[in-house]
Amino acid sequence: MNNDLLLEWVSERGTGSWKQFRGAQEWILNADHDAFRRPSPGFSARMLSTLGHLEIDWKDARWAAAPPVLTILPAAGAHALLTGARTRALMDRLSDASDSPHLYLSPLKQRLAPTAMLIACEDETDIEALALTLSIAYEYSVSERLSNLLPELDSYLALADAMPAARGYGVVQLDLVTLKWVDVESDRDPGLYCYDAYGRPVYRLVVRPEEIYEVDWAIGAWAALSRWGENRLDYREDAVNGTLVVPLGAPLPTLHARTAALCSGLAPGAIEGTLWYRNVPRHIAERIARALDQTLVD
Amino acid sequence: MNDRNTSAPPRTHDEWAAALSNWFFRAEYARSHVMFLVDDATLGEVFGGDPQEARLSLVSAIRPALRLGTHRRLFSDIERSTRIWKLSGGTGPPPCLPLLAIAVLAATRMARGDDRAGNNYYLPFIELLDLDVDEQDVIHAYGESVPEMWEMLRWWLDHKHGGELGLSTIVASTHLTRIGYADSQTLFSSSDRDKLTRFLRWLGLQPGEEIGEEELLAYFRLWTSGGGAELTLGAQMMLGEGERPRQLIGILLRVADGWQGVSRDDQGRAEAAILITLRWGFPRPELGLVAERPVGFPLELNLHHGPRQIDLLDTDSDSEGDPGWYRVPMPLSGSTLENGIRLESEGRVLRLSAGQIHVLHKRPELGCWASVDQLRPGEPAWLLVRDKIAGRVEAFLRQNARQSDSDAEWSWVSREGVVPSGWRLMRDVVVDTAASEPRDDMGVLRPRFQNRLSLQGGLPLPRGTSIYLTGGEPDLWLPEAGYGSQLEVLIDGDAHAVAGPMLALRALGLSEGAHKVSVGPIHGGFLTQRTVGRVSPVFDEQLGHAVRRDADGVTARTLSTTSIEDGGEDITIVGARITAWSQQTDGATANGANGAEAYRPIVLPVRSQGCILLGSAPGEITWVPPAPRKPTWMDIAELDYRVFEYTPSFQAVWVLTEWQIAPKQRVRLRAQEPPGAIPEERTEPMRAWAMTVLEWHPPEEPHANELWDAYMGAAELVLET
Repeated sequence: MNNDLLLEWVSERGTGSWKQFRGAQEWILNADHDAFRRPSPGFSARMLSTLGHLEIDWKDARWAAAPPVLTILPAAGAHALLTGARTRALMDRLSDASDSPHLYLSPLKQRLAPTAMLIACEDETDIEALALTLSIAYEYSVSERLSNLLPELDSYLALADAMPAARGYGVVQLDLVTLKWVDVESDRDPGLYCYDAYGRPVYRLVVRPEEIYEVDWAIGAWAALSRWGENRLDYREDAVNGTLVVPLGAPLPTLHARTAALCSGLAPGAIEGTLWYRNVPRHIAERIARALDQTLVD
Repeated sequence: MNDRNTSAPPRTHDEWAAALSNWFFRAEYARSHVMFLVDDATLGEVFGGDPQEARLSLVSAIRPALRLGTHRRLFSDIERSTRIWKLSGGTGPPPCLPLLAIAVLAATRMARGDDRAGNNYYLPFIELLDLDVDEQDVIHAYGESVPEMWEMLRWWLDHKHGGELGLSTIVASTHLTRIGYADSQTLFSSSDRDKLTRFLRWLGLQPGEEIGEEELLAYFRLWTSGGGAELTLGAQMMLGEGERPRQLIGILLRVADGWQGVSRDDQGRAEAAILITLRWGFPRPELGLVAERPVGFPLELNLHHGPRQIDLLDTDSDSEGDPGWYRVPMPLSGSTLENGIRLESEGRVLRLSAGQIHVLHKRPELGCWASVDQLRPGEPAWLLVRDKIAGRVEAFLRQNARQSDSDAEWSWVSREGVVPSGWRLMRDVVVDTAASEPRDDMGVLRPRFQNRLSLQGGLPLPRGTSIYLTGGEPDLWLPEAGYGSQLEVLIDGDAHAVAGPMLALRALGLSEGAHKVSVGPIHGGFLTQRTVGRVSPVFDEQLGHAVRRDADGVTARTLSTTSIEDGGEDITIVGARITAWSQQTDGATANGANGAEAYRPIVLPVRSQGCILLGSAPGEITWVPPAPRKPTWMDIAELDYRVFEYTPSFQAVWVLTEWQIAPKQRVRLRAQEPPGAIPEERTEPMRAWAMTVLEWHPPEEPHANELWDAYMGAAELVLET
């Protein structure tokens, strides 16, 4: 799928409804004649959000491109990442500015996400200067900073009291062992439920019949795992930093996923039912795990 | 027509005017289009007796009003009395109606065929009125008075009554200037008229929507070519060559202008659809029936299903003024699915289409899945399929339906008790386009947005309804499969061959700017723009996350991404922008981690022979260990590993690197910091710091060289004993 075109459209348009995003994503897929291995619109939106390109408000079914930012990746061979919106005007400027002998543009094509715009530098001050030239923001090591700002799961739930959802289109429950959605004959037992709805699904975490939370898939999954499941976050040490392995069935919440992904600037790789976030320093992985009531499994 | 005449047969001129008016123009036709189609059979029904007797009665009533002594002004008295009637407010039926009835009756007797001209018309007209008058005098008298009478009838229907007794379909003809009015009422029978509402529904025309004349005619031709319209011979003749299509356009425009979104059946009854619903429930999903309640239908409606009476109720609506839904309390059997249902009452009919397959899409106003006429491209559907064609449906879907990594793929629902015997239920079907045309009984599976030419998809920009990003040009969906082969498809004047129902405009590599689309007489257009020209998007409302950080930790201030205001919360996160809005949290976010990473990493070359970092204070020196092995992920990402990062425990001012090739010593200034104060007590690190400064070659850059001199001065002081 042409994720670069999707990001260009998101950036040029600025804001829109979920229906518009879904329409654009599906149109690009069809235009590419990519009948197989189709990411869903929700997957593409979460991927763009994870990489800091856009923010999506699931509750009100709308999205907005995020401002463009240059940030240095942690212990990544002095590579900076261009994240956020990527308008064609910005990319024209970047192309002009990358003539500098101190900067090396290393665009990296990705299958499930837009090209990662990595820029190698000899000194971080070159990146700051580039941000100034492009008239965009520079943030030092976003993932490091974000990892200090990950809210506790319960603080989300404190905001999420809800009524049961309408179930006219269908309902399934997350199996906490397989982390797959399964058909159910009741939605009163404790667990995370997904209700099909017009436009997009809605989720409810049912603790007791009278204690129900309106959550998104990720918050709901980790809150459910925290209560009734096991530790499901793996960490694999590398020469420098390591890889955080997350089950596909329990995606990281937006901020947690962004923290992990902006360590490398790359989309997490989908490998055998898991997502692999590369180049995550152990202390950042531990902060992510702690925020999700998890302990890293080495 | 139903028998509406329960009073005594009309005899006088006034009685005939009233009887004709009551028959053709009635409150139940309000805002619908009406035809003054007077043929022998209808005349008999209006009269309440034999058609021939009716005609003789009508002529007897008219003849006293004719100026039989002044042949060239035969109809002047009727015209005059109608004019007076209009000037006095148009109360009661138009006095000209009996004569106009004869005028239409004469038109029905014209020879059928292309030669519908005056010489075929006046002879039956003269015979009907039993006139012994020269034909030329009749033609003159007709031309002097009758067209004006038609205009007054039109005024009465459309302006005096504002369409409350029906809207006029009277159309003037540029060719048949005199008899064209009468002719226009004969070609379209009342059943044709009612079918026009089905055409408008097929077209998807919204009430109040404007559409061009030629476009409307082109779609009408397309609709009739489908074979389902079953128009009368007269109506079909209007599709021919010459003047007829102009008259047809006039009628179509008039009907389209008054379209309220309710179609009518052959008997003129308002139609609404019955839909199959699939509602998720426990322990299993349930099939049911609901019916549309168009505007004006009562909240409670009694209908007949054969001998049975069915009472429908709309419990969710407050008034008849808005559309709503009836619950249909009938079981859904296999026979119902196969043969459909027809519930009837006086003036209304509710219908469930028969079929071997029923397509169900999500219906937000019902909150469940509900049946539709045609599968929509790219939209998830459930299918109710008869057992006997299940294999063919599977074969079609294997070839055309989406298969996905993340979406569920189509599958049969195995749960028992959900569907009637002989039927099967399939879930999660998505078809974007069909490479193979499904056969007749599977025609509902041919994905279509609508029956009109339309631009679908693409990457629209927010600057108007038809502006797209270049590279994101929309798809052109032709009005009907096969239609494109009949009509030339032009994009910016260039002809394009279209194999299927859709042309992907993106593949044409169109340049930035305005583009014109033509399919036969149907036209459209759109604009493309490469960029809106901004480096950063501009927002009315910023979406992001808000968090609070205090001694107890970090708490979420928003459940998920939502609208945030600058300064409204402690810390906001938008994409990769993190903004602390209070002093208390600023320190926590400025360097990211409570000061743990007080100094940012220094970027060092991997291939240097060694690196030394010097701070401003004598003794601040570190020998950087060799670069770590290239991380695996950088290999996977095929990134160059030219530099690595090292974080010293002090702020590095100088970065010293050793190389194999000249210049072998390279000094880089990293922070414009003068040398610090020299403590009294000398330590080994201080001596190492000083020795290093003095042994290394100074940097070449003038500003760095000046500072290096200062460091050399400090180093000499350190080494003085």
